[in-house]
Amino acid sequence: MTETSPARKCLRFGWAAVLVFACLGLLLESLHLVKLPLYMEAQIRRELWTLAHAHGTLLGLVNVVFGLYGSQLTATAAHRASAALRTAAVLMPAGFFLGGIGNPETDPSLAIVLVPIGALLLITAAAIAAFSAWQPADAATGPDKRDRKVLQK
Amino acid sequence: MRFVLLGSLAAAMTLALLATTTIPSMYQDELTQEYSPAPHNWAGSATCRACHQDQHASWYRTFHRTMTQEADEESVLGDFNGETFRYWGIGVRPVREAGRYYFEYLNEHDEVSVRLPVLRTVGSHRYQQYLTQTPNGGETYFRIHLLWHMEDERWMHINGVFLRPDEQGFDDRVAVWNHNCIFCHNTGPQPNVVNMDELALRELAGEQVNSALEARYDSRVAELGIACEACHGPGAEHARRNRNPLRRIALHLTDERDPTIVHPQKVSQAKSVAICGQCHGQRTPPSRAHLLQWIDSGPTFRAGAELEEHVVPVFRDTAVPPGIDPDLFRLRFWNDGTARLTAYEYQGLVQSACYTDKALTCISCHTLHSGDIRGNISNANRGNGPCLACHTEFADDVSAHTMHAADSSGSLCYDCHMPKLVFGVTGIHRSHRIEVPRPASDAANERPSACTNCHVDQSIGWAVAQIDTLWRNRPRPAVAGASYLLESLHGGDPVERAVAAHQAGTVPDSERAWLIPHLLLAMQDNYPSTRNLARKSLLVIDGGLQTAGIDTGIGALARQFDFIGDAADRAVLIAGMREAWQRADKTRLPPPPAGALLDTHWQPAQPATGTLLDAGRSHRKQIAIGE
Repeated sequence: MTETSPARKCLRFGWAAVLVFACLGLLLESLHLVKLPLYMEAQIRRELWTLAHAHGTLLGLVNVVFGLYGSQLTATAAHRASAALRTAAVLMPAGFFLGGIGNPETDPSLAIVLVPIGALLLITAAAIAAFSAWQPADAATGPDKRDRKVLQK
Repeated sequence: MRFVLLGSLAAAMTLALLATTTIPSMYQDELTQEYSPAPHNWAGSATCRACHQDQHASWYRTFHRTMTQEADEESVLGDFNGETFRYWGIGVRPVREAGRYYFEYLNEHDEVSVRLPVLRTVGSHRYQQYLTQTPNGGETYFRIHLLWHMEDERWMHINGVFLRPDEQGFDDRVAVWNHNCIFCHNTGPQPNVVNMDELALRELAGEQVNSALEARYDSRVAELGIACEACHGPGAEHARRNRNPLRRIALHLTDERDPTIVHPQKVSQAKSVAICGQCHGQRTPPSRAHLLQWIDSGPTFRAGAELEEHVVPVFRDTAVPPGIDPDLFRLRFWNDGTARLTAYEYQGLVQSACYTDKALTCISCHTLHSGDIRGNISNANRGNGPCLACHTEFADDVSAHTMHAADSSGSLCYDCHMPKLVFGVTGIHRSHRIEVPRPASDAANERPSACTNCHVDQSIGWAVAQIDTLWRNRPRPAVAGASYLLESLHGGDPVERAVAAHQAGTVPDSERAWLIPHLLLAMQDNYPSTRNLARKSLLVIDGGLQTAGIDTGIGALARQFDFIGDAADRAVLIAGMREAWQRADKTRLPPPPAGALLDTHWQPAQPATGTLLDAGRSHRKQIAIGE
């Protein structure tokens, strides 16, 4: 079975995320449409769910961009950054969304803890990608540690 | 990615687990400790909004917030169009200039003698009053003589909103805001009289001192209007402590209530009703020392306390301070002790079995955080919901208990158990003493009765027979007699007359046409407020006639009738309306009921009506109170 490249994974994930979070946006609009008290009368929930929609969509697009240009990084960097980026794109919107469920009047629920973890992963992904992007051009295309392991096999 | 995701979730769960196990115990001591707020440690509603956006937004809509405001284009509701209004011979002109508002007082030559700027507004629901400062008055705010009535869209003299007879003067109701209004129309009031020692010394020396007018003030309030902390207590410490997210997590994860703030639903019944009762329950200071403290640093009651530890709520038999009319408090209640003025809702509630035997509080029905801001009642509580929450036995078949059609107003619990018999703010309101209708006792106590409040054509004897027949299983024959409403309208004391004048016109029904000649008599009452209520009822009935295609011509004249205006002008309009009534084609009107006290020409029957009017005029003690 051919191993899917990290960039391809991100591309797949990214478009799926855009689809899912665009649908969530539509759902939020519908909640506005029917003026559902559960949503309309809880400012903090509205804010958190809006943030879930926004972060999910934006991170989906970041994944799409990574899917287009991630192959220009070293294989190891692409692999690690891709994993971190996709996990961040799950954790951050999930944290915002779940933070708006069962929350007290003034704060998100404890599920909000997923957001900083996701944020750290996002920053990590960006750092890995940035570090790799600053490497000489041949380092990106030449075999790195991970590629060598594959070749040795 | 799988490892990263699983690792992250594991980290999140570990963090959450740590939070739920360790954080509550870190704050257990602090959250269970008794907390007494510093009396003036106010935060202000803007601080509350930072965390409680929803509650802030729902409160922001209310008339409580706009009870007192700085005067500006948004807050001022009156029509400052420069028209002159003349009361007791003195002309006053509300004018607007360069975005600011003024009242010009005119001399006998119609020249401006003084021009007072509008600095603050009081009220925004039924009517709006205006405050000014005089050039040498320092920080003293005076109430201006004219107010803007929102519902009627008109200016009127302040005397028009009190229940007082015609014998009044232009300046009778001049009030000092710092001495009066500040207490219940603001949050955290502190009148701060700066010359209190001097006034006390003069009083000790035997001098007559008018403390309201001679005091010099440096008044402060935590916030203009009734804001969050009036009901939740001073919140600065609450805000400070809850900047710590760990404390908030601890509060969320435990059942502990935050001791630094008061939640009206989470305190005892007595403490809950005290929150509203601090203003909606007329009271006196327990001692002279308290009084002096009130006019200096403000009332001591804070949300979360028992009201009677800080004030003496006024009831019918509450002792009046020496030197004051001994009937002062007595006249504010019906003879059975039920309050007949607004701002006694607390008294009504604590007199009710629903309070003493059940768990009813103000917030069982009212809220500042949802529903209709008129009455501050949530949509769910508009109907019988709050009553049926306890009286579940009636829920399945309400009309089996009410003996009225299920969809009629007679099947609304409060129409019978909280009848409208309370005067205030130019209207008639529900009693907050929740009671079982007892017409015989009501008549004996010379007060309005729930049955005849709606069945306006019926006698009290009829109501007694109905109660016995329908509810007490003691069938009695119907008793004919004069309408109890008419007996009250003509023969009652001023509050009875005012209530009857209002109840006459609660529905725009042509069936009530027989009340028109009686209302024309009530429009000649010597109490302006009763004239006003009678006029409004007449217009409602006239509306019913118009709908039925009957135009008597009275409505057009009634609309010009100024209940507090010049007596000669009123007499001309009354004569016109009486003439129009005489001319009206009565054959098109529904026939008058048996107790209508009308002669064959549809005029008030004599001598019965005359006797009632004499009885009305003979009431020895005339009430003169009640904004």
